[in-house]
Amino acid sequence: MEPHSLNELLIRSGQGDAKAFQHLYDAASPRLFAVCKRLLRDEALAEDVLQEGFIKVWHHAAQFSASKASAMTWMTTIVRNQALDKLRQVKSRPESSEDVEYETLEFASLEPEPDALHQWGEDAQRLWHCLETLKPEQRECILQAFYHGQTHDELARTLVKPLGTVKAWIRRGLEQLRGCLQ
Amino acid sequence: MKRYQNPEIFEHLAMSYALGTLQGKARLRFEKLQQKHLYLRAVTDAYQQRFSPLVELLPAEKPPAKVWQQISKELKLDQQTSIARSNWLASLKGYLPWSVAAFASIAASVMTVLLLNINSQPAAYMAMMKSPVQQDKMMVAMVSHDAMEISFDMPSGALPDDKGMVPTIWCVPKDKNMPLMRMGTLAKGDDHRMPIDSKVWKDMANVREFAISMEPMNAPESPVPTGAMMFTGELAAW
Repeated sequence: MEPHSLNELLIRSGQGDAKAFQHLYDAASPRLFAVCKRLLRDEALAEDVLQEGFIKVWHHAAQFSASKASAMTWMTTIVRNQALDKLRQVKSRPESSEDVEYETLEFASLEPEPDALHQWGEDAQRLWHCLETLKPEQRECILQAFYHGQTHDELARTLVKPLGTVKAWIRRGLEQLRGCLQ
Repeated sequence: MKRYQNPEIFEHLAMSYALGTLQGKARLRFEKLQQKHLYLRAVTDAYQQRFSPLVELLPAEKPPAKVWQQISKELKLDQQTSIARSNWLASLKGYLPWSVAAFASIAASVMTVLLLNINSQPAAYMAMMKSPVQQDKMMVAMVSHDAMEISFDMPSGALPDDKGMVPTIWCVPKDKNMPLMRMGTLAKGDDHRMPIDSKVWKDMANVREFAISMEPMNAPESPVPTGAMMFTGELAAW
């Protein structure tokens, strides 16, 4: 679905149009569910967070302004924050498992199809360009953190690297991204 | 200087928050700071917005049908009509800066006040002010009816330390034929609060944007800015 169609559906949802909200859910939920699943690594928790996230989207849709951000960006922020909050709650529970298997980042191959790049907005293309300028280890840490919600400690364990090294990779990677994005 | 007022530190914290590496108690602490300091919220929102296109790379996965059924049940969508909600909120959506809107979505208490006062006068006005020359410089101006004051929330170093010049606040009316309003000056080291009276509060409804320029300290007051414009930002009703 075209980004402007999602914007329109979100605007109509903000005006109380339940049908538009259902179409919005149908169009956006598969991508947002994928975000929740990767962050939480638990199907049932991901479903809960997706549900809570869309309820929040409905309640706050009237505040969406298409001139400031795309609907997908706006909804991603809401749902991802919801998932990170849940992740924080789960990790704080004593029974939570430390031995979680993380998948590879193959899906985030750094060679997107030219057509896909063309469809992205200017901001997305800029982010892509900036990520390409990072060292591979910096890029991997940043993408692992974004997609899997891994902390510095978890990244160090996953990558079998000293904690200080991982912290330095992320810090320098973010500094470089900051300069590039500005 | 407090750590979160140092742009080098708070911008890194904002990026870490947006990325997700800031977790546990540190994440909670940063969320509390964001509620207190709107510039932190705005910078964080900006980075969340910048990182969000990464989601496009994920292969989509259709959620089970029961998720929509739960949402529909929870929101009682089958009882909803497509009648537009309050015109007040509908007009607000095109007016608020996105990041301010995102802030509102998180500040549930503020949202509750908004929803309860849907047809009444705004409780406050807010402007996210940016530097026309330096993209990373920003501050937030809030006009509060409860406190009857204008307050400015900014990271340290946001205002230049320019001898002989003073940061001066201006209100730009919506009506271009109306003169600018010179509101006063900001002194270094003060708490950046300015009391207002009921007339100024009423005038806010007719203000399009806030601006801060650097004006000569010992020169006669000019009715228009004469020095460099440091910050501007559109005013939005809350």
